[in-house]
Amino acid sequence: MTIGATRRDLFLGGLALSVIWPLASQPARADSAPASNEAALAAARGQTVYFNAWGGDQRINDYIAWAGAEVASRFGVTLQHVKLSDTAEAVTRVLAGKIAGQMDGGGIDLIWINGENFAAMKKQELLFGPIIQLLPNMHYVDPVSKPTVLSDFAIATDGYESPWGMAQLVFFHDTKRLVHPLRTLPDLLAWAKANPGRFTYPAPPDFIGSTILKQFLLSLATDRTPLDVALDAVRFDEVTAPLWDYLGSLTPHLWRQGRSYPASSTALRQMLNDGEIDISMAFNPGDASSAIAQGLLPDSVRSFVLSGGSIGNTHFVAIPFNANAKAGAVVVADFLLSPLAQARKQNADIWGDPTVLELSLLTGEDRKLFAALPQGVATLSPQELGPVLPEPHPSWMEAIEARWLQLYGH
Amino acid sequence: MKRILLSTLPGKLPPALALLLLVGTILVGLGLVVVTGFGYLPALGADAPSLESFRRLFADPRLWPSLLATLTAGLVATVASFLTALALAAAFDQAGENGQGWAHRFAVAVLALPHVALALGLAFLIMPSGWIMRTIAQASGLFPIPADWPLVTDRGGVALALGLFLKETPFLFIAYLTALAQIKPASQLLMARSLGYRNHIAWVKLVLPRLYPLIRFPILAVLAYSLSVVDMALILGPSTPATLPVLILRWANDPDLAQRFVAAAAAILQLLLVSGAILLWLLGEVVVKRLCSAWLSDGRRAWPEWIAKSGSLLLRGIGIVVVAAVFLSLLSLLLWSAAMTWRYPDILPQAISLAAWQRAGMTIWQPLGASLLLAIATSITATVLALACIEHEKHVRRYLVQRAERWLFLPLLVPEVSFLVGIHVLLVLIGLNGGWLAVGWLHLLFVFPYVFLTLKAPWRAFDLRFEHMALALGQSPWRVLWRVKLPMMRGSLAWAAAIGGSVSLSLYLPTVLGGEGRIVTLASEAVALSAGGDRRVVGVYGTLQTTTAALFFLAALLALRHRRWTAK
Repeated sequence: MTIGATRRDLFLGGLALSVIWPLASQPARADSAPASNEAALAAARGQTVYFNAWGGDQRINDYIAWAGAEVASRFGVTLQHVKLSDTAEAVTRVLAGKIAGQMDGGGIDLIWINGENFAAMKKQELLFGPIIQLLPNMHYVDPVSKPTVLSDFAIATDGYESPWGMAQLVFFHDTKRLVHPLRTLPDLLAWAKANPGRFTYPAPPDFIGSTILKQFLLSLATDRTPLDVALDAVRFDEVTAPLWDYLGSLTPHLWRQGRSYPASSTALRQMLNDGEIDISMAFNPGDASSAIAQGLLPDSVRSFVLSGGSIGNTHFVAIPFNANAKAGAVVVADFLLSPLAQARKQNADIWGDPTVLELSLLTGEDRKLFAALPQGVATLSPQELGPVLPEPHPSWMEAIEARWLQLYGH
Repeated sequence: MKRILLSTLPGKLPPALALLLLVGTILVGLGLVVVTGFGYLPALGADAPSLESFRRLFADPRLWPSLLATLTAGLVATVASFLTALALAAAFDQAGENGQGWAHRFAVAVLALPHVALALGLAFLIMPSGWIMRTIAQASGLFPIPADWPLVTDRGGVALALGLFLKETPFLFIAYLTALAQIKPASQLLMARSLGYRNHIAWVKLVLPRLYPLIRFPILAVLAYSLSVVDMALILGPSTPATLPVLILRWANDPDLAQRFVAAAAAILQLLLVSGAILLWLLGEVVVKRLCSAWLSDGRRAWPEWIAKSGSLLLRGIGIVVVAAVFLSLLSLLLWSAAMTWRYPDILPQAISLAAWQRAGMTIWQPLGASLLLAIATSITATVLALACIEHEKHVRRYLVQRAERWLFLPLLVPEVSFLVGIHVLLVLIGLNGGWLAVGWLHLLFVFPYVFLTLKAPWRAFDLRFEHMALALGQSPWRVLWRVKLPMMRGSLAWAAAIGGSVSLSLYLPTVLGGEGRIVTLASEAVALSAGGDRRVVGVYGTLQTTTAALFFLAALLALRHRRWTAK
C-alpha cells in the first residue's frame, strides 16, 4: 500500500488534534494599556498577575504571599508568585515572546528587576511604560534624597520601573574571628596578610563580585569624576591603576591564594556560615540580620561598611511590554509602594529591606508605621551606613570585568 | 522525507509522525541556536550573519582552561564509572541472584537521587569544613579553623568527576545487570570453566564481547551527560573558570543580551565537544578491539595470581567507597533538613528544627501532584511511543527509525538552556506556551530518548522464535504482541517507564519555560527555593524528590519480580 496515510490515520490525527487544542493555554484577551490609576483599578478586578521574582529566600517569598493576600482582598487581584532561580529566565521568556511576535497576552505581568537586566530590557524595548504616572504612591518617593529611585545603575528609568527597595553594599564579619570591623582598604589588606585565606569575593562577572571591584575602585580613586561619564579608553589604565595595584597586593592572601573564587554571593554566605572565611558581603543592609534569624549565619555576625561611602542602588518592579494583565500589574506595583507594604518590608522580622519612600513626605499616621519597626541585630542604622556612592557609568564595568578576567579569571 | 514516510508506513503513521514532531521540535530549537551563533537574531537587532560571536568566544581567556576542565572531569568520570560498574556487574553476576539484591536496590536508590542533592551532600562530606574534616579535627585537635584546601570546586575538576562517578556508576551497573539478564551468560561460563578457564578471565573473554554492544548506549549517554552537566558542576565543579556548560548558562542568562550570541556560539562548540568525545570513545573501542583480539583467543586461562588478588581487593575498596560516600552524603542532607544550626567543627547539629519540613508540608501538595501527573503521563506516552517505533521498525525499513534515533540524542548532548529558548519561541508561535501540553511536550523531548534507548537493546535482543512460534500457531500479530511479547518484556518495559518517570521528575528548565512558571512541580520549586543556597531546603526537597522517584523504581522492581504473572 503506497497511497499514503489511510483515512483512519487522518481521522485519528484529527481527533488527537481536536482533543489537544483546547488544552493549549489560551490567555484571556489582553486588556488595553490602562490610562489612569482609576482605569487600572477598574480593569484589574478579577485579573491574575504573574509576578516573576527570584525565589531563593523564604522570607521574601512569605512577604510576596502576604502582598498577594492583601491585593486579593483590597482590589480583587490574584497575585501568583512565579519563583525564579535567576531573573534572566524571565527576561529570556519575554525575549522569546518578542522573537515570536507575541505583542500581548504574554506570560509575565510583573518582574522584579534592576541593573543590567533592566538596561537590557529597556534597550530592547521589552518593557511597558512609562508606568510611574499611574502609581499614586509615587508621591511619597523623593528622587532628590534618593536619586537612584529614578536612575538604575546610572541609566534613567524614564518611568519604566517602579521602585521597590533600597540596596547598599555591606560587609559582614564574624565577630568571633574578626573582632573589629575593617573600615578602610589598607586595613583590609593588612588583616588579609595576617590572616591568609580568610577573605575572598565572588568571581566577576557575578553581580556582587563586579560590585566589589567597583567599590574598591571608588574607594581608592583620588578623582571619581571620570567614572561618572562613559568610558574613556585612553584613560582606562590611568584611572583604574589604583584598583589593579591593590588587587595585586591583596590577591596572594585571598582564599586559595586567589587562584579560585566562589561562584556567587550565596556561596560566599555559606562559606562564612561554615567558617571557611571570615567576611562576606551583600547588597541588602538587612541581609545579615535576616540570615541570623533563619539560622543561615552565626548570631555573632555583624555588618560594616567602608568609610568614605559605599555603592548603593535601588531595586524595582517593571511590566513587560506584552504583559497579559497590565492593569492588575499596575495595581500590584502601586500596592508594593504603599506605606503599609513598604513598612512591613522594612521590618527586620519580616524581610528587612529598606524603604524607597521619603518618610518626611508621609502623613503622621504612616510615619508611625516606620518609627515602630525593629531594626535587626546585625543591621546598621542609616547614620552608620554612611554616604551612598553612585554606580560608575556601566561602560566602565564591562572594561573592568574584562581586565579582571584576563588577570585573575582563568 | 515525507513521501518516503507516507509510502512505507501505511497504518503506522501515528508513531512516525510523533517521532518526526519530536525531532522537528529539537531541530527548531537547535536551528535557532545555530543562526544565533552565526550572529542572526533580528529581535535583538542582529540581521547580518557574522563570525563575531565566535571571535568573542575564542578571545575569552576562560575558554581553554574551561574546556580542559570540562573534558578531564567528563572523561575521567566516564572511564572510571564504566570500569567500576563493569567490574562490579561481573562480580555480582558471578555471585548469583542472592548477592545482587541489595546492590541492585542500592543502585536504584542512587538513580532516584536528584543530582543536585547528591552534589550538595557530597560537597558537605568532602569540603574543608565538611563532615570528614570535622571528624579529623575533633579527633586530632588540629584545624581549629577549616583548612584552605581545594577539596571541592577544584580547578582540575576532581570533585566534579567524583560526584559524576558516584551518580553514574550505579546507573551503568543497573544497565549492565539488565543486559546480562538478556544474554544469560551462565551456561557459557560453565562451559569455559570446564575447559579450565578461571572465572574472571572467562567472563572478560566470553561474556564481555557479547555484553558490550548492549551497554554501549548507556555509556555514551553517561559520557554526553558528564560533559554537559550543569547542576552538579555548579556545586562541585571549578568556578574560576567554570566548566563550559556552566559558562554557556552564564552567557545565556547574562543581562547583556548581546552575550546570547556568545552563548549560542559556545553551544555549537559544546555540541562539537560532545560529538568529538563520542567519536574518541568509538575510536577507543576499535583500538581496544584490535589490541585485544589476539589476547582473547590466546587460550590463556588465568590471570597471574597477584593481579586477580589485588584487582578484587581494589574493587572491594572502590565498592565500599562508593556506597559509603553516597550513604553519608544522603545522611548529611537528611540531618541538614532538620538542623537549625550546624557549624564547624560540630559533627552533629547543635540545634534541631523541623521548620523546613513544616513549611514544605504546607506547600508541596500541588507541586507534587503536578510532578506525578507529568511523570506518569510522559513516561507512559514515551513508553508506548518507543514501543510502537521499535516494533514497527522490523516490519518496515529500519533506516527511518535509525535516522530519527540519532537526532533524538541531541537534547542529551547540549546544555538545555541553549536550545530550549528556540523551542520556547516555537511554542509561543503556535500558541501552546504556558499550558500543560507545552510542559508535557518539552518533558517528552527529554524523557523519550532515555525510554527509547533503554528499551531498544533488550527489545532487539528478544528471541524472535517466540514470536514466530506464536504467529505460526495462527495468532494475530496484535495478539502475539499483547499475549506473548509484552508479558515477557514486562520487566524491561517497566524499567524504561521508571527511568522516564524519574527523568521527568528532575526537569527544571523545560518545566519553567514550557509552563511560563505557571505550572509548578517539585523540581521547579526545589531549584527556585534552593537558589538561596540553604542546605535545609535542599535537604527537604532532595528527600522528597528521591522518595517520589524511588516510588517509580519500586514499581518497576515489583514488575520485574513478578515477570511471569500474566503468562499463566
